Amino acid sequence: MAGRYTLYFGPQHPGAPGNVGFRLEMEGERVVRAELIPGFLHRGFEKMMENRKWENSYVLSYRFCVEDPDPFEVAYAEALDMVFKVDPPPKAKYFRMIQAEFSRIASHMFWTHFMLGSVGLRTPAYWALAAREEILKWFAWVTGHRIYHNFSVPGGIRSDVPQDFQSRTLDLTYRVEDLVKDVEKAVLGNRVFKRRTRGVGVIKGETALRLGATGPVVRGGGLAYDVRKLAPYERYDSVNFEVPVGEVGDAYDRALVRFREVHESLKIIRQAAMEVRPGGPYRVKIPLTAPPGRGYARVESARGEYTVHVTSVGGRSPYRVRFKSPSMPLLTTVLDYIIKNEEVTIADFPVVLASLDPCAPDIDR
Amino acid sequence: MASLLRRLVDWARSRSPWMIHYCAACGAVEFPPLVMSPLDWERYGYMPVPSPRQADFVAGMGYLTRKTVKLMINLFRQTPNPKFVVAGCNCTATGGLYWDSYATYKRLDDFFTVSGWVPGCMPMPDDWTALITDLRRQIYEGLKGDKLKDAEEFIARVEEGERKWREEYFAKPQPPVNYAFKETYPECEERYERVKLCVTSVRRERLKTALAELKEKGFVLLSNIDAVDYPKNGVIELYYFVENKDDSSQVALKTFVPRSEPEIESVHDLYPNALFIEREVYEMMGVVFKGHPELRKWILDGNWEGPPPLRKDVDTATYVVKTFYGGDKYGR
Repeated sequence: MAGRYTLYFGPQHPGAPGNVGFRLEMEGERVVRAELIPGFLHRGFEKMMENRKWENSYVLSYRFCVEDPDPFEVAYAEALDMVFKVDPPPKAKYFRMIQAEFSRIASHMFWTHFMLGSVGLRTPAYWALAAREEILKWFAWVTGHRIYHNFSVPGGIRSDVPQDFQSRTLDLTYRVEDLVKDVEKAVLGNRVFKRRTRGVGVIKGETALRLGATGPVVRGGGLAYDVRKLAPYERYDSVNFEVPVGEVGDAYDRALVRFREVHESLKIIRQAAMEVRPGGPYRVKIPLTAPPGRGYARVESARGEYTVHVTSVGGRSPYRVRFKSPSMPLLTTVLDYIIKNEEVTIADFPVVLASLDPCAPDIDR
Repeated sequence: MASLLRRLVDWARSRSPWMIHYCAACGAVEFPPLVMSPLDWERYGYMPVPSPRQADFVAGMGYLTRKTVKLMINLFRQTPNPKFVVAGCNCTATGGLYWDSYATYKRLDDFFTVSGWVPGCMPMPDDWTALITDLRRQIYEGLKGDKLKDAEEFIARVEEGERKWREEYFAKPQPPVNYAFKETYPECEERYERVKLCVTSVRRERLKTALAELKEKGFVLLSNIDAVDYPKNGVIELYYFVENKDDSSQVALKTFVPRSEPEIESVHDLYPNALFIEREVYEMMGVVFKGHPELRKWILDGNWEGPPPLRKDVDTATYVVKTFYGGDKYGR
């Protein structure tokens, strides 16, 4: 079809990244402009948290990214630690790291399923979900739930870890590593995958940073930008890990970075699990009312840097909570940049979307 | 003979319940494990289909934002008869955790009759399996499926009330400014070493020059814009968080606008992603960014017609309880 026309893509579309829509301006097969239509997942977290007490509000703090909730949970717990001026016991800090890293792996595996769906490789997607399932089972065993864990609370962690925590956690890291290696081999070495992703969606790290993006999109473009290294929170300063980077900044590099990150996360978990033993203090009690002040936390989620800013004027509830959305620049400025600078056809559009790995609910909150 | 044929057709249809592939909310995250490994729903003949015209049922998975409900009504109309509606998760049944959210509808059965419920937050995958066996039974027994209720009237009534509230809200006079402010830029007035944050104040007239200076120094990433409303002081405080590309240190530029005239210059020419963050602050807080090319409702479009919901004197919780729960929920 020649000439300009408008095409609506999503929210009810298998290639859409969750419940968001796009208004595409097309020229023949080529996408010349993509306008994001958000709002299908807006619940107004920032307002709802003002209505909740301090000890109730953290239940809401992580629910706006289902695929990767734990970094958000850890960030809010950290921000409240700052408001209440408490320092959680070291065990709790190490546990929060394990939780956040397992969540990152689960999120990257979920992304693999999504990415391969848009490329058309269904079999490794099944394997990736099997690896994620192992992690969800671990979460269900430790925290009592598969998806939302609500385990990092202000002042530490909600309860003590089970007796055989260390052995079972280490065992899991090796099992997950085996499964991930299979997926990695089937994806990164695959000719179809290479053809569909090499040279698609190119963006350099520095450019992406100027457009507001962080995370694997920046690292895939060759810039080792990671808050875990640059502004370490919890005990990330005491573990050894590397920040993997790509070269070209295309969809393939981003996939590469994500798979390497999984291995780095496993490394972190193995070191942190050594410090988490059952028994001993795991939580500092926090008072019912907070002192006036400010809470701020920065964490590296699976989609980039995430910050939370809590304003307290004293009393039983937060006065104002503000979240940063790591996915919003991905689907607005970064996507605009890619579409302007290369020829994205309608067939490549889901591949570009998936390779950015946006989390739709975190745009809307 | 005819009835035998009909039973055969019903039996065949019950062996292939297809769902519209629409990931409406957070409950959808449990579907890949259900449909793919390890639970493999295809053994029940289940399949997610891209088009509503091929589907047998539509599932509400989790909270129902107003925009999603409008879309679901649209999808439901396109589905051929007999069609079924199932409700997964607590939020579709009672509003759940988001009972005081201004942007969600609380119950799916305000809009449709519902054939199956799956409780839980989130429901365990086995609960969904119980649902699909029940749905298969219902299709096999030749049940007629679900109908649309007078949904559009309800939606129109709610939105009309909100529009009126918005008019009333903006007609009200604003309190006078009673606020102490001292410009400290470029010195830090609060410093947090662990998160590498430095908070500094600047008047709104000088905000853009200050941001341009910071950008020259390497603060190229606009992390976020926060707006905090203080109705007692008659001001809205704004925080611009910018981040250095070399050592990732952050500066929070604090400024304020009076509530009677909430205007500030847009910074989208310095930071491209400000275009969207500013648009969000505009719709949520009612701060007007001068020079912004497309200041309009974006996330709230279709979700909320009332006054800027994050303003402190907009009590959305009481409004929601009055409108959707008849004024009685959790002691409010």
